[in-house]
Amino acid sequence: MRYGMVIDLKKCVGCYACVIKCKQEHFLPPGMTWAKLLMSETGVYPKITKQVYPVLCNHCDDPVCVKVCPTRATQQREDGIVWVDEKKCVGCRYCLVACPYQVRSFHNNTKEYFPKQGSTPFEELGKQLYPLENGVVVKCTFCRERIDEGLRKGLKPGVDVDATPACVNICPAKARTFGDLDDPDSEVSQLVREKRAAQLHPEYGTEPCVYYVIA
Amino acid sequence: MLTPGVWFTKSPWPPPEVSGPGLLNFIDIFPHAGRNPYPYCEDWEEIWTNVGRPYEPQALGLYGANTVMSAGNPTAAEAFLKKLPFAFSLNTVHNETTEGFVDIVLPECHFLENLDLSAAQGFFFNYPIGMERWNFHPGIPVVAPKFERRSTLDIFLDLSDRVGTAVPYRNFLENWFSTKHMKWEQVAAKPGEKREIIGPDENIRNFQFTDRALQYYFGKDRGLSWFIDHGYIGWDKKPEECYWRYFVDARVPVYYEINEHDKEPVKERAEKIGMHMEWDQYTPLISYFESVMYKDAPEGSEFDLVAVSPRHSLHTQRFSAENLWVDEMSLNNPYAYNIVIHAETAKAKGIKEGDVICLENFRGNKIKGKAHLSQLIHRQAVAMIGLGGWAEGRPIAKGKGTNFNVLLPADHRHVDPICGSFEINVKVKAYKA
Repeated sequence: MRYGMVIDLKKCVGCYACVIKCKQEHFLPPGMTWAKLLMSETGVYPKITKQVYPVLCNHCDDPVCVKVCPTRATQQREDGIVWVDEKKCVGCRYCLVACPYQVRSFHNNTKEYFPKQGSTPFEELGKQLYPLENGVVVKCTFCRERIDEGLRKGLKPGVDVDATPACVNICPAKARTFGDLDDPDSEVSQLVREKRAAQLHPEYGTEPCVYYVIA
Repeated sequence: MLTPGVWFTKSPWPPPEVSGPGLLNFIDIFPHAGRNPYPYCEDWEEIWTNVGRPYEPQALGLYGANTVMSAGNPTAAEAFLKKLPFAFSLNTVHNETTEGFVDIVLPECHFLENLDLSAAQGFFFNYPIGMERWNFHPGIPVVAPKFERRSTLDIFLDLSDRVGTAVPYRNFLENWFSTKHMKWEQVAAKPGEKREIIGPDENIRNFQFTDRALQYYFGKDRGLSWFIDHGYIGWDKKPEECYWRYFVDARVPVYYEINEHDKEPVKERAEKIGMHMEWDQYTPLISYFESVMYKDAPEGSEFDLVAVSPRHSLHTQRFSAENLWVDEMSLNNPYAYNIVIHAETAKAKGIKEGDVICLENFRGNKIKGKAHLSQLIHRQAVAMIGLGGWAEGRPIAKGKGTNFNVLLPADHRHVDPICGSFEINVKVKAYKA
C-alpha cells in the first residue's frame, strides 16, 4: 500500500480551491499553507504559455526528512504517508532545510486572523479539532485523519469522498486523483502509466508519490 | 421571435418606444439600453439642466451595492451621491459608499445566516451545462443571524409596509416567485386572481413565504422543512431542455431594422440635451466602429498604452477582496494585486519588477500600483483587476490592488449610443511614481 496522487496539469485552472480548502480543513493560521500554487511563464509574447503547478508534500517513498529528523518525529507509515509527531518534534527544522521540495512550514505562535480582536469561532473550533503545537514543523498529511476515519467506516480512499484528501474532493476541474500506487489497477496507477505522468525533480532520488500529467 | 421568459432589467424585446427625456439616467431616450452609467457621469449635471431639471432626486435606496466603486468613475459617482438629501442601503458590511454617502444602513444577514429563496434562481448563463442534472438550492441558513441582522425579504417586506408600497410589492413577489410574470416591467394583479404564494395584503414573513413557494414548486411534502433536511432538490435533464435550440421554432434576428427605425427619434432627443454621440452606429447589421479611446489619444500620443481590467480567477467583482483566504492567495499571486505590464514595455520605460508606477489618462486622472513584468500581456496593454478601496468597514480589502475605475472618463462620449454600455478601456501613459 502506497498512497499517492496524480495531478493533471491540463485540467488544473489555477483556481486556488485546493490551497484554500486545505487551509480551511486544517484551520491553518494566516500566512501558512500546506499546499501551494507555483506560477511561471515560458516563452516570449505572443508565443507564451503560463504554467501552474499545484504542489504539496510528495510523501516520498524514500523521504529525506525522515532520515534527518533527530527525534524521529517525522515518520513514514506503512501506507507511505509521511507525518510529523508534534509531541516529538523539537523544532530544529533540519527537515525544512533537507526537504528538496520546500513544502514544510515551521509553526511558532499562532497568529490571529483579526489581530487584537480575539479569535473567531472558526479559529476557536480549530484549536479544538486541529490544535497546532508551537515551535514544531507542520505539513500536508494527505488528510490522514480523513483516510483513517474513512477506513474505519469501510470506505475507500480516493473513491469515497469522506476518506479522500480534501484537496482532491474540492477541485472543480477534477484534476486530482488519489489512491494506491502499489495497486496496478488503481486509477492513480493507470494514470501514471497511460498518461506517462512525471514526478517533480526525480533526480533528487526521493521517489515522490505525487505525479503530474503534463501532456 | 424568441423572447426571454425571465429578464432582470428592461425587457429587450419588444423594445419600448423612444420617449422622454425624463428619467435621471436617460434610459427612456435609449430603448435598447438595459442600463447605462448615468447618473454617475461627469456631465450628468449639465445634461439634466438641458433637460430642464423636471425634478431633483430626493432619495436613493441601495441593495448590497457599492456605487462609488462599481458605477464607473468614482469621482463622478461621489459628485452625484453628495447631492442627495437622503440615502439608505442594505449591506452586510460597510463600504466606500455607505461610509461616505449613506444616511441609514440596514444590516442584512450574511449569506450563511440568510434564508434566501432567490439564491436558487441563478442567472440564465449559470445553470449546469450539458446533461448534468437540474437542481434547485435555496439559501438555507446554517447559523442564526448575529446582532440585529435580518433576512433580505423581511427587510423589504417591512420597508414596503412602512413606505406604503405593501400591495405592489406583494404583487411583484407573487408574480415573480410564482413565475406568472418574471419581468422587470410588472403588472398589477387582476381582481379575483388566484394567489399562489402571497396575498395582496398578507402579513407574512420570509419563513412562511419561502415555505409556501417551495410547496408551490415541489408539492405539499417538499416545503421548507424538507429543504432544511435535504439541502437541495435535483432532477434529470431532458435532451430537449439541454439542446433546446434544436427544438424551438423561432426567428432570431440578424438584420436589426429596429436600429434604422429608432435612430432618428433617439438622435433628436439626445442631441437636444447635448448628448452628441456616434449615431452612425445605428446600423441594421453588426459593424465595426473604432473605440472612442483612439480618438481621445490618437496614435503617436504620449498615452501609448491601453489600460484594461481583466477578470481574475480569484476574484468576483469586489466582495471577494474582503475574504481573508482569497486575500492571502492574492498576495502570493503576481497577477492579482499588481499592475501587469509587458516586460519589454516596462524596460523601455525604465520600470523594474516591483516598482511603484503611475498610470495617467489624457484627462490627468492617475492611479498608482506595483508593477509586475510579464510576457502574458500585449506590449501595448497594462492590466489590473481593479480593486483598491479605502473603507474601514472592509479592512481586508483596504489598500489592496488598484482602483482601475479612476482612469475611466465618464460622459456621454464614452457610452455606447445603442446599448448604453460604458467604455471600460482607456489610453494611458505609465511612469515610475
